[in-house]
Amino acid sequence: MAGATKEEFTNVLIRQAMALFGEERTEELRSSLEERAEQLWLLDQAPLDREDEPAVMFFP
Amino acid sequence: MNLVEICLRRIEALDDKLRAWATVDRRAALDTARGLERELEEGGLCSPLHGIPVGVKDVYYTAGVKTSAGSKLLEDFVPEYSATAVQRLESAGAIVLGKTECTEFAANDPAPSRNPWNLDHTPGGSSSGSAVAVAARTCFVTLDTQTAGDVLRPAAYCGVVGLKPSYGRISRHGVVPVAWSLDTGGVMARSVEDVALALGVLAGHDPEDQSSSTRPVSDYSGAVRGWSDPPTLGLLRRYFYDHAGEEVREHTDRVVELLRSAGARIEEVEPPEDLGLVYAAHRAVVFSECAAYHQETFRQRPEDYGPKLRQLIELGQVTPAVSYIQAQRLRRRFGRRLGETLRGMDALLTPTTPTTAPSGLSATGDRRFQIPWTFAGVPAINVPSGLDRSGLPLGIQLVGALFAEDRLLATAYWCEKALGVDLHPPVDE
Repeated sequence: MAGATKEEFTNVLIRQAMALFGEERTEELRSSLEERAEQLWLLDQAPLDREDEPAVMFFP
Repeated sequence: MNLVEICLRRIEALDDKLRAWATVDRRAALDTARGLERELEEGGLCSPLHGIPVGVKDVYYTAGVKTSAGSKLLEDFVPEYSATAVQRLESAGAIVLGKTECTEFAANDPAPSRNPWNLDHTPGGSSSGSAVAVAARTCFVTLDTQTAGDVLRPAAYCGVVGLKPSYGRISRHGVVPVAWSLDTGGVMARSVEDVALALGVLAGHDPEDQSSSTRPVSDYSGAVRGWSDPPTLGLLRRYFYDHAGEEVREHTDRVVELLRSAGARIEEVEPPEDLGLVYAAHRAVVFSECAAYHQETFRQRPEDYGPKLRQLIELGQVTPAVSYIQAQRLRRRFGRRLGETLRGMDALLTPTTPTTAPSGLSATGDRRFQIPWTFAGVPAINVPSGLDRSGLPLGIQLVGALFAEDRLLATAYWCEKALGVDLHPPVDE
């Protein structure tokens, strides 16, 4: 979702939640979903270099 | 024998109100104590933790002893084998008194444990019972885990020493996971020396655990005892002072002055990354991995999950894969930059928590001061540093370089001696 706005992140999470948990549960989760969307948006803004690879999960 | 009996008597006297222990295996503990006593009388070798009563967080498998991880889903689960870390403790002569309470699946739904300094305040989590058990002198050492701030925060709230070593230093084999790439074995005790002794027993490669490091294990107790030079510390004010309460900020400044007057070289340093961003990245990793682990069971028995864990899993289920990978990329960069910040220093210093233990038992406090170090995989330790105006413990957090536990423990020991703080909660009054 490179370059997506906070609102776009929120909409994606809400659509996903509706599909998985239904409307009632999504409403209950709305403020948490908005908070998550803000964090994911923040993460999306992180200026990572092309050379930055993911942390390996396990040490060799 | 005597030590075990004393601890068991204290559990009997105090645990109705403190609720630190999920299971106490009294008979097994006494039998083991008798056996170890005989070994000593017969002139056998005295192992490092010979006869020392310990507690084990209820996420570690213990053969023949219930391991519930604070969950209804595992209320009847009795493992057939013990976690490698538990085996190591027992091989070193430790006597496992039982299992300590933790939050549900070591996540956010609180344990029944209460803070020994004020029963109406949280002891923190997820290693809630362990911190209470050590603070109340019902055992000497506990074996714990940290995924966010699960060792250092309860240790700070309850006034004990808590160490989270580097990721991979203590085996995770036989541990109920929260998030595989973050879960780290840890220990609590009443002094840095005791923590060093326990780490010496627990650290080391385990072929059963893919994340277990093959790096050599140092002589941690020797490092602690052999250290005498004042340390060089980097004080992190940015982010930590932005989020800390006034009393914590003032206290940390006083601690810094005290350590300086004792000879420590302390200079202020800047965080190597936006720690708000690091927090967001950590959450993306925890939520995703936790949702993956619980996926099948959650689909079958959602009603058996507590409300906070249920929400965490649901939020993990909707976290995009790309966000998870970006978080792991940021994690590697943060670790590299943190290593550069730590160059030439023995440790970084911050307050361990933004406030002392909050009132209420429905939540376990703010984990944001411990998260960066768990995310980077570096070792961190809480050293108790005093009491606030309402009589609750305060602590400083020292953060070391990856796999430099020997240096971190030696630094913590020096600070512990310079501060001269020994906290006793009012549980016997």
